[in-house]
Amino acid sequence: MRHEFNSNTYGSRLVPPTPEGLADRIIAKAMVSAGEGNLMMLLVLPRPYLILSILFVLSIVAGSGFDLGFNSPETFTVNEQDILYSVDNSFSGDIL
Amino acid sequence: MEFDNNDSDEELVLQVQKGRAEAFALLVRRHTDYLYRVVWRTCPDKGEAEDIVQDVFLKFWNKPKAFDTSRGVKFKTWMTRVAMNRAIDIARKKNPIPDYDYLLQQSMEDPNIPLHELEDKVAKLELEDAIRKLPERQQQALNLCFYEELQRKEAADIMDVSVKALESLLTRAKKSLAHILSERKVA
Repeated sequence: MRHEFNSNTYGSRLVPPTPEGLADRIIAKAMVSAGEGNLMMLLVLPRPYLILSILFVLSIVAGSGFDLGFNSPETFTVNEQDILYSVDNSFSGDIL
Repeated sequence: MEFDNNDSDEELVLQVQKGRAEAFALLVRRHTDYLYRVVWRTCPDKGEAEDIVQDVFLKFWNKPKAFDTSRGVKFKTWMTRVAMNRAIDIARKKNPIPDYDYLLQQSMEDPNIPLHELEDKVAKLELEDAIRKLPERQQQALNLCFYEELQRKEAADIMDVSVKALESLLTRAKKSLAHILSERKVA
């Protein structure tokens, strides 16, 4: 087979396609390296990376043992006894 | 301030030097595919090529003044030169072998691909293999001028040679390639 070399051969060599999302990953990394304080960076972050970043921060907060106020012992007053004796015995109808 | 594809690279670079992230994002989206192709042809390893492209852009972002706008060099030329030099260094160290099977597999998986297209791909693999047997500089000249269709001046600037020297490289590359391919036919 004849191999042509002229201006019409653009792309005629086999090259794998650019890895998916490469440009977005580069931008996201640049934004992180630019300094976390710059909120303007959020404007150019692709949405999935933005969501992942927020989840990452939340997971650190949750993992650090910081009490967010849920399930605090002072407000958790129901105990086993309350549950056992809370059955309503007032029902007296014929279930059949 | 909004940026769009009507803004030249050099205008965007000036904005990046002022710290504008949107201008940087536009430059990355504009050139990533091109840069990946150029790098992969020099260093045919997917992972390495991806890392090189990423590093070039991130270094530019972290030190945008490294590109001197007053020297009259185009941003694309500068970026390509930096990326190609990195790719050459890594290719010399690791000597990666292109994954031709992967490239063919892409075609094989398509049940509707016509036979002539498949034959064409196989012929291209032969050509690819022959190009890889050429000296490094000749490969670069072919890649930039014939495959990326860059102007002779731009390609010469990237390779840091005169236009005359580049044309000489191209002539020798084509002769060597014709020789390699004709020898194969005889064999």
